[in-house]
Amino acid sequence: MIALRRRELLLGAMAAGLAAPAFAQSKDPILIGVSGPLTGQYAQYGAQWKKGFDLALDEINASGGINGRPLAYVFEDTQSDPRQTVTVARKFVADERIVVEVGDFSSAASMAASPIYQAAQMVQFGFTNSHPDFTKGGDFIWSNAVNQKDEMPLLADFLRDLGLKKIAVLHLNSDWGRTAKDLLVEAIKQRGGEVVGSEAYLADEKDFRSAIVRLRGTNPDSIALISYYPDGAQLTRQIRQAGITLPIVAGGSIYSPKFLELGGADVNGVLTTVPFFPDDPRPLVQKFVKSFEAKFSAEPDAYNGRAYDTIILLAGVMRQFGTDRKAIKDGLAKIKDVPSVVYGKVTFDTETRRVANPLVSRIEVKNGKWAAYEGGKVTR
Amino acid sequence: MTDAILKLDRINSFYGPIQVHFDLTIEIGRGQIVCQLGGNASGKSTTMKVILGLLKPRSGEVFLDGQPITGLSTPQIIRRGVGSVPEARRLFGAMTVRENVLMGAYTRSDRPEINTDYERMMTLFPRLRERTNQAAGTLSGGEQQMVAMARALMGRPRVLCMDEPTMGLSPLFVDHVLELIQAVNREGVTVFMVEQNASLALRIADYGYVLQTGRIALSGPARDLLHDPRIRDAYLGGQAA
Amino acid sequence: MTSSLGPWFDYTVNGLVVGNIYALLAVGLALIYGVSHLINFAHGSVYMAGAYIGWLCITYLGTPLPVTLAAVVIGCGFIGYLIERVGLRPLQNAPRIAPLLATIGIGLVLDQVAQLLFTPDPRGLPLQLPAWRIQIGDGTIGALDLLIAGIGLFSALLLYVFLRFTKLGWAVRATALDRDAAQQCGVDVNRVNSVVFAIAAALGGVSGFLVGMYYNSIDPNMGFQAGLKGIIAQMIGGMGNVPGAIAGSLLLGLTESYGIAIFGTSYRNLFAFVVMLLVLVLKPNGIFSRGRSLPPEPLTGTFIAPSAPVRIPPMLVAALAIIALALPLVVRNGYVLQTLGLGWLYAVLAISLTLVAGTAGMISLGHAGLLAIGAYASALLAIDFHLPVAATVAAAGIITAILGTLIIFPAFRLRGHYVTIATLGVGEIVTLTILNWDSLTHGPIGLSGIPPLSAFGMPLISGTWVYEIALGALIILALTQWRLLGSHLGRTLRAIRDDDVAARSYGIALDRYKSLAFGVAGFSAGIAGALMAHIFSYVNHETFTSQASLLALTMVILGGLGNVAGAILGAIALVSLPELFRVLADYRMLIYGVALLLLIRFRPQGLLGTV
Repeated sequence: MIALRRRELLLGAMAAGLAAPAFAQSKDPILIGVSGPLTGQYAQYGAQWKKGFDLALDEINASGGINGRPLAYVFEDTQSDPRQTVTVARKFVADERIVVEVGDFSSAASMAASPIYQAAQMVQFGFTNSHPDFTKGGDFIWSNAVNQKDEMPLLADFLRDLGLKKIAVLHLNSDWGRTAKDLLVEAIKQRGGEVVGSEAYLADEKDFRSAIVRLRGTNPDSIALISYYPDGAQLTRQIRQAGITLPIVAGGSIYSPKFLELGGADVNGVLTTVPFFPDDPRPLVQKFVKSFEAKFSAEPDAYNGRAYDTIILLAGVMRQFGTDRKAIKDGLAKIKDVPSVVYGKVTFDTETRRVANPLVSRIEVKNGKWAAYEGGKVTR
Repeated sequence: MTDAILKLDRINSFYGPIQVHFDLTIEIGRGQIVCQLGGNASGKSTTMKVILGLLKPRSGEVFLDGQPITGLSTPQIIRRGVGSVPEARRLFGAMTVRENVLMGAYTRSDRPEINTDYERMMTLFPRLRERTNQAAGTLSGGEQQMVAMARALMGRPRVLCMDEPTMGLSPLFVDHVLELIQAVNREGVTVFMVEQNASLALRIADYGYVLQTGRIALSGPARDLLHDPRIRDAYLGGQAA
Repeated sequence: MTSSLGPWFDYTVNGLVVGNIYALLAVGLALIYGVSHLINFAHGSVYMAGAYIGWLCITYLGTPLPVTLAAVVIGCGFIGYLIERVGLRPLQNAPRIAPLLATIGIGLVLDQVAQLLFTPDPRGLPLQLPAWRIQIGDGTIGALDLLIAGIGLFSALLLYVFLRFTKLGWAVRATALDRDAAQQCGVDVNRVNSVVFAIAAALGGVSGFLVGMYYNSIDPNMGFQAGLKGIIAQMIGGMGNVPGAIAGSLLLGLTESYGIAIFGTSYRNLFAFVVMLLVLVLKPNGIFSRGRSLPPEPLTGTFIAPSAPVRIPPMLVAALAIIALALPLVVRNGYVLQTLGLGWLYAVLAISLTLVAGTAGMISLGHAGLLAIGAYASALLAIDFHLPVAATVAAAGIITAILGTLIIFPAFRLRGHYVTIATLGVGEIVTLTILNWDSLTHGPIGLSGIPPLSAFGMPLISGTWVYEIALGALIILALTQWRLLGSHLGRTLRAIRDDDVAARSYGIALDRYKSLAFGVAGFSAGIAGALMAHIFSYVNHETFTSQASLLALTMVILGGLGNVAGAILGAIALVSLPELFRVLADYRMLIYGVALLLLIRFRPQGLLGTV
């Protein structure tokens, strides 16, 4: 109770202070604390984040930084392990130079640290945390990850529009995969479809033959995947190798150039919905893709794009509302239609602290490349 | 003894902090049968380990034909002509009799002569011929002892070290094994054996050492020792002497 | 869509295909166990190395398949040789726990090096074979399935010929049967060891390469799970039994496949570990052995290094405790307090493990399972029944004590390596049960919104409170355990550790004493887990993994097995050191692995010595 009243007081104080953003004189960099995996089983995602961050910082600092001060980030490795995110959280909140935190990768690890950020009144900005409970940790917990509550109905719409009624679901057995699956099942039912079977697999599994045999026995019209790209590619290969030619529709998290490399010819025809994909003709996206390719000689994937977007967004908030920890929190609630590589335009829903009405594109793998879905035949 | 093929010179050996041998000196004359006697914990089996390089003494030297072999590894010592019949035989139980015997020739590569020696062994231990393809672990104790001896002899050792060759054998076999040891010795192989059964060992030995808590308590020609009252005391009256 | 043969035929084929892959790993592990009596936890990493050597050859040199295979064989054979020569041979005279831990450390280092060299991102490994597939039942098998089966059979045959008809093969068998006797036949057992490691590593590398091609995906972390499956497979077939390892692998593959058929995909690993535990308990020598008796060899007495522990005067301990309690008066930094607070909680886990591993001699690799039980027990009581946190934490201790003892009970008659594997299995089973028991544990969703630690309705979430509560729990539990160890109970447990046959012959009821040890240890670990749950506010099945168990064991060994003060020192060191290494971010785990190896090499009895 006491804590709550104090929070209200602070909110009032912040609102009063907002009108005059402070122009700092110092040339010391403004720091963003990044909590994420650089080693361990999720290390590849942390490596992808860095590329997106670096590109964003290049652009921001080339155009004057944050009102004259350079922007930088401190990346602390947590292996996306809840014990370490908690420790890193204490470190960040104790470091006065850090104005906002970004990450962690998995919702489990991020949510363990949420109470600390909330108590210290520093924004925890999770850009990969699609767990619906993530932002419920408090009013300092924000996310621009696609909430599964938004994404899964859009995927169900796609299935409905394709005329697929009997769906078999394969999902990763994690908090993320399970939540997404439950939401997808609900959305499919609301649209008059039927989920005839679902199988949960573990992250470190590579062999799905028997799971596929089980699902085949349910005689579905289509198979829906809730996977990351390595396991998604694996599943698709093995589904095709089992001689199943049913259409495969997957959640957006499989979207990555790596999906194509790991899946080979078998992934042709896989359909998905993504907020971001490089062939999107929007000029903002094309500009991002060009500079990314120039810097890293590789095509950006969803994580690169999200990481880039997040830093650009936060820099925008800082430029407009100041670099005070609380000002950032309040600024996030105020921004409207900020241009975004991932979403087109970002406005936060101040209730859920997530992006309101995110934009998605329907895409498919055509001749070994991601391409916009243009209707027509959906089987391979 | 002037012509010692194997000599242990002032050996001090330890198991961790516990000293086993105290300035142990033993000479084994060429062509002889020498036995080392002693009760439990007298350090007699450890003597074998020192000779075979399984335990490095903290000080002292082991000489084979005048050459020091103290720092060498077990396989190197075996290669120099020491054969070993370990305590409790230690056969390769899941391997056949033939394989066990031929393992003894591991250090050699003269194929035809190995075959000749193998035939000799089968003549020396005819019972083994009937069992060449049987797993060694399924043999009786006496038969296992024969395999162990054949295995050791296949390396054409100059010195054969035998650790308690009669242990656990039926009385009938004990005599047989002793005869075999004598037969081997007659072919020119020096035999050094460790035995708990003093009277048996001294019956066939040329020379004997009695070990007590790591020191030589007594030594001399086997015939003398056999009649020495102190031996009788030691083995009838326990550790009192 | 269904064929005349029905899905069971497909499940059978699938099981055999997967079992086939396990077999290539299991054979190498069985060879090594046969000759060195060592479970090689680094085997999975060699498998990973094989995949990357193959990838390098194909990508940069464009080699055809036979050349690639030859390169993998040679490359991995050399790695195997190095592991034995550099990593394990110096430990020959060390207690037997040392090489076991060394293989874990080597595996860690290899994985980390691969991650630094090749980045953690998975890579495709293009198939170098024609893409045709044969329809079998409702599924298909491809050229690679046949190649894998062919290589499996071919290497088994080659191995058979080698062991049966070559001099070196005989030496390998002889060394496996009796190392000392082999030496007395002139066999250079070190060379035999090198050869065995090289052969096993070559086989493991080939399987990694083939599996990488099979799934068109390789990554630096691919080895751990695969290695574990190989270990389970050879355990089922009988440790050190080469034909048994092949049969065990096929059986494991079938069991998993049928398990999926009956219970669903998420039960796969649960099934594998339960089968392994059943085999361990009912037929510890593998399902093909006749007797139930364990091989006489792995006795705990020789498993653990004897040494004189460092004596710490009680006054010094008291002084240190007071200084520690007063620290937050001086240090205000929440990060430092949080780190040390976590250190104290890990110290509770470590003293719990040092009791079972050190004092009772059961080296456990599944101790994180106890943390998980404690965490879930306390969190569920607090969330579902709204009990005060102080009560739920205490209850969690008791629940963990009872549950932990019950689930580990079947493993009490095992010794040495077998305990280690069994406890590893138990730890995994706890995690997988949490994952699958949706109605109680919320399955993969985990438990969120766990109330923070509190007193009289006041939440205690600051770094200072975390620190003081953890330290308080540690002091109370450590004192209790220290008193216990000085009593009759401690002496009895040590007697059991050093020679359980002798202990039994003195009329000591082993099961009762081991239960008591596990009960006390379970209570401490349960408290630690419960406190962690309330501090983290969110736990799921991945919060307490086998990595945490390994970390706990490293702490205990660092401090000296059975040594309470040592366990605390080890915990504080291993929680704070990685924090100090933070600047080195990417190299952190590598440094940790190297430190572990150096410790095993130069101070196997731990910093403060074994009690």
